[in-house]
Amino acid sequence: MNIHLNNVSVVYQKKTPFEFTALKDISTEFNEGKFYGVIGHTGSGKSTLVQLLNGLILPTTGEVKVGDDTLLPKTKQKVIHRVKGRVGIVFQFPEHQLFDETVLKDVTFGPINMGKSKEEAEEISKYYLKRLNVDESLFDESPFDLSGGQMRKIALAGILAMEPDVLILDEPTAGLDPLSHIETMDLFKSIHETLGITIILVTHDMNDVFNYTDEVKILSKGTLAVEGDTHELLQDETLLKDYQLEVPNVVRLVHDLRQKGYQLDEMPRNIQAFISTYKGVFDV
Amino acid sequence: MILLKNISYKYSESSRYALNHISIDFKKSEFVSIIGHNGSGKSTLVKIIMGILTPTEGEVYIDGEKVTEENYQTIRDKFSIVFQNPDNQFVGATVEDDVAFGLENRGVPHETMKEKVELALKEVGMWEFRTHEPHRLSGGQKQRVAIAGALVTNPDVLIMDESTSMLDPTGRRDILSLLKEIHKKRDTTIIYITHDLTEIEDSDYAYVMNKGEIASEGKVYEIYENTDVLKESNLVLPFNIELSEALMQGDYMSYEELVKRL
Repeated sequence: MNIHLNNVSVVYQKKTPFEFTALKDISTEFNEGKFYGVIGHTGSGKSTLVQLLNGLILPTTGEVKVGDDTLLPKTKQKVIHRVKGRVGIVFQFPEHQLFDETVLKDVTFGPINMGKSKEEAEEISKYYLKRLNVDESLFDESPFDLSGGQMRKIALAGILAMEPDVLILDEPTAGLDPLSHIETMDLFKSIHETLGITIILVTHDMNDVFNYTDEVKILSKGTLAVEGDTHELLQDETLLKDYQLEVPNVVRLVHDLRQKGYQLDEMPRNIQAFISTYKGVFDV
Repeated sequence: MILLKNISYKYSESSRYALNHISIDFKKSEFVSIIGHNGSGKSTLVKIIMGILTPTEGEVYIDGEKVTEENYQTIRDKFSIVFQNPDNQFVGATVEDDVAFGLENRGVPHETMKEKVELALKEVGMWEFRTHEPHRLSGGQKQRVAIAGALVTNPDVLIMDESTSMLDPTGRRDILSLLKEIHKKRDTTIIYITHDLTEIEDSDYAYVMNKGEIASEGKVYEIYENTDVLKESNLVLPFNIELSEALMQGDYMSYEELVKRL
């Protein structure tokens, strides 16, 4: 399923003294099966953009086409509901989205709400819980008695159990310690690879964008400034500087070493890959 | 300044000790970092220092005085703390009201209060935002306001409890350099709690916590060189250290030094 935005603008608190244009005339697309990064300085409109994709925010003007459905300024609740089932969104601290008395009940809530029978919902839920390595012995436990990392997995299972075509991750690693950060990102990567779900990652972490995503969209002051191949765009230090974005560590390193005369043809995706690719090059 | 003597702590419902025989001597005016993975015991340690929790075993001394239930209130006034999520600690409707709160609580006269609030807001570069609503500021600006609120009572000790972990990279760097400035100008002891090893680079001294114990302590370069302990403590090495370990098998060096040496 593909998503198209056609000339979308979003204005908050229209016709009040607080009127604020969050997005201006955006036209772009998100295609099936890709891993996207949405980046930009704080306040550039990233969160507004992704909330448009599952109907949490409707465009003030323009249209958002999600598969066969079209979201317009006055789209009915019924259509929005359908879109929400196809485009899942994981916010910061997904564990705050938990609410039910057992793990299994919590995860089945979504599919039941989307019209599945209790039996079907349980079957799907168990499948995704197992995919995320949540042990069966925990299914009847209260989600609130589990560790933070497990709570996160259960919240994520709840979203996957709705079997969305697109998964949006809005700064999913903010506030996590570095090891949980890596575990969380690897989990998303394996979901992407094994289930083939389109992923849209909103983040400030350029190392993650460079490491995990195929394509990137750079927002600036509510407009779509640049979009294209991640590997190409994030090597352009001038471009990154123009949009107040950090240079990924590995890019900075390779550029600095090329400056010193090393011939490093290939640009690795991360520091570990750098080490294994170029370890023999350095005689120190 | 703050002396922790053989502190252990166990939460009543737990069978495991959250802190196990911790002894630390925080010296006056030092910038000290405490690094640890989630669940390593660093937040419990902060609560012990602040007197929010009473140790199961061991004693806390502040300026040579043993902390007891009787003197806890007076001692508490020597500390200020800034938390991870500033939204949880705002009380005022405007930035200046919020910063004034700690002074109002202490019964400071209105005129003095106004002067102090102005000074604190200027110190963190937020004076021009004084009439703004705290909730509408960016993450980094919110933490600046929280720091002003913490400094306005002129504490001996400022504790930063993972105060940058929600900020974007620029916001993080801004807050760290602001703290450095504050530390240079004032006599304040700063205790900086973090799970990010890249943030301790400029500390005078650092402690690594793991499983309720101090896994290592020392000057920052000593901490960085002991990569085995860092890995055992579930910390992620900063990339310059990962590189120097893999390529040079040698001493800790900053990113710039590393590039120069290669």
